[in-house]
Amino acid sequence: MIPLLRDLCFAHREFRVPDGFAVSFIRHHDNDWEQAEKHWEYSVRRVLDSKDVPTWVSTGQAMRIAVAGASTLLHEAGENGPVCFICVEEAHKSGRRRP
Amino acid sequence: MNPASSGVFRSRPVTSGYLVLMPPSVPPGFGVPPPPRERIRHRLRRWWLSLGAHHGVRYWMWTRGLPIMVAVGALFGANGLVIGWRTAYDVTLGITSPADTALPVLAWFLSIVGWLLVPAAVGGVAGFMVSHAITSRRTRPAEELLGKSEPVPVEGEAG
Repeated sequence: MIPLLRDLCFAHREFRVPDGFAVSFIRHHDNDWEQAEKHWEYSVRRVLDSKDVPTWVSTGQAMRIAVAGASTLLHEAGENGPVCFICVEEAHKSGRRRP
Repeated sequence: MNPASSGVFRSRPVTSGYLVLMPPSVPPGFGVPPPPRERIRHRLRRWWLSLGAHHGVRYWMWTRGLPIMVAVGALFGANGLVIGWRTAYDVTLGITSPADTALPVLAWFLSIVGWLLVPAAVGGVAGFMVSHAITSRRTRPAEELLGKSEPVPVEGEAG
């Protein structure tokens, strides 16, 4: 299963994420754990659905690749910390709804 | 020094046999509040999103096949309880007309589902076997098949 953000705050023997990613991702969501967790899971799922995860790898390998890929993408996207693409999308959607 | 007694973790560790299970927490100084417990609906969401790690027929079975099987099973069970299990089986395979059952309205649904499902299942299995035989070759890199970390040199490019 997709690892919880709280489990990624420490060094994890199964998943590799950039140092400080989980904490900075939670801070990016104004310390809202539930929203950060939800956006993290959606981000990993998008990587799982992308062609960056090879089709011939096992389920566990696919998850490890997706977790490493998603965390690296989110962590290195911004200059001053992580960027959440789900937040950006939601902001665009809410902006469109306004008259 | 035991981390549980050093104040790094907020609550006491749970001893379980040989393992000492540490409660999920974030050490102080990280600047974030403690994480809440994962609710059941959040765990279900995480499980559902994690199904993306599967590939091919296994992914299809979890996301499409299982809901279809549950729906068909529920319809078959309802028919079995109302019109009898033997009759429900005959209606599913088209041996008996649904009009000849105790509750034709329900049996008609089962008859249509059986009419659609049986050829789809047979065709699906045959199609999967043929497509797997055709497309399963040359999908993995040679270095993985040979267990090497370096790419295989291509003749003419080296040197």
